[in-house]
Amino acid sequence: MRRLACASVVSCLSWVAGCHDPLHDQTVEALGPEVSGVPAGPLHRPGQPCVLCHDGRGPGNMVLSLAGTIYQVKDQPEPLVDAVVHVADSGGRRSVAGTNCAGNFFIQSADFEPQFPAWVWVEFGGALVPMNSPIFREGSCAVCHADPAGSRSAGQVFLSPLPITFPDSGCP
Amino acid sequence: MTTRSTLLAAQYITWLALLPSASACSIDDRFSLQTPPKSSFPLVSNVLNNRCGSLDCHGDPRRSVWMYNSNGMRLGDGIPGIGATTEEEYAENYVSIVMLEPEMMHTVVLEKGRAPERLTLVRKARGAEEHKGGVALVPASYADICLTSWLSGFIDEAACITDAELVPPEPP
Repeated sequence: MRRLACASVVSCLSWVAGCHDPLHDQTVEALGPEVSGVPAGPLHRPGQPCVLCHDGRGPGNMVLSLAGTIYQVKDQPEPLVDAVVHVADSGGRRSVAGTNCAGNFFIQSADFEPQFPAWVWVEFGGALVPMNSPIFREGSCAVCHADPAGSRSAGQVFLSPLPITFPDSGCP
Repeated sequence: MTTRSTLLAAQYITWLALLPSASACSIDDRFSLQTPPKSSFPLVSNVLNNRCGSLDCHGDPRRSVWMYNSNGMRLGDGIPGIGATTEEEYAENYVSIVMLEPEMMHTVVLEKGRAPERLTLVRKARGAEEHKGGVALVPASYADICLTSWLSGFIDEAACITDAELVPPEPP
């Protein structure tokens, strides 16, 4: 009877401890609130590390393996809409995703879990731009591509280093 | 030899020309322990940088071993993805590598690189020990030979140049 009681206590404590990751929670909290007028969904939080909330621990419902935001021009805020993001992993498998009106793209873990390192290309308007280096473990583009660029960040992901005219995206 | 390999070899030769002459097992005046040759380290660093030094791995200051490089964390005002790895960054990487386990490094170097797996650096890179980054250096590959030959004091430069970069898959 005593042994059963002890096992129950240990089990309960383990359950409680496993549901709460204070470091994860603090990091999510530091991202700040949703932007007014943009509900939680595919268009929200461009430029933020998507997989942080969408890694299965919440608060994002969808579980993502790779996700991020692509911009038209280096250091400019206009998103790159309707681009195709190609991913090839070390196991020879490939996946594609498109960017939406916020420039966001995402690949669900259920569809594709890359074997790292993985290589990425952005395709738009007939141009295919490769990422300079492969991804080794991080599913969120923004972890390495935070804005602004600095000694520990490559800056936002962009298609063109120079200002060029893009076609109307048709987005509101 | 590819254009890129030629550039890396030229970079190494330039680095070598700027340093005072050093014996194969020289004692750097900063260390009281035996260390691998600093003069040939850039070749090794290039191999490690491209496999280990990305912003999401050891190009992240939260990791135990820091690797500064052109596509990872930069020293000073550098931006990842812009400009080649600098001499100062190579110097910092050298310290990072040899001072990870200085006593064991001393022993391995003193014994001409015998049993390099005694170093955690080698075990983790080979995937012989739990390593989030998986297998970075396939045992007996040119990249692995580059590192282990450097530890022996007689670096295989051809191996380092051959496997300096990861070969990406065919673009989509």
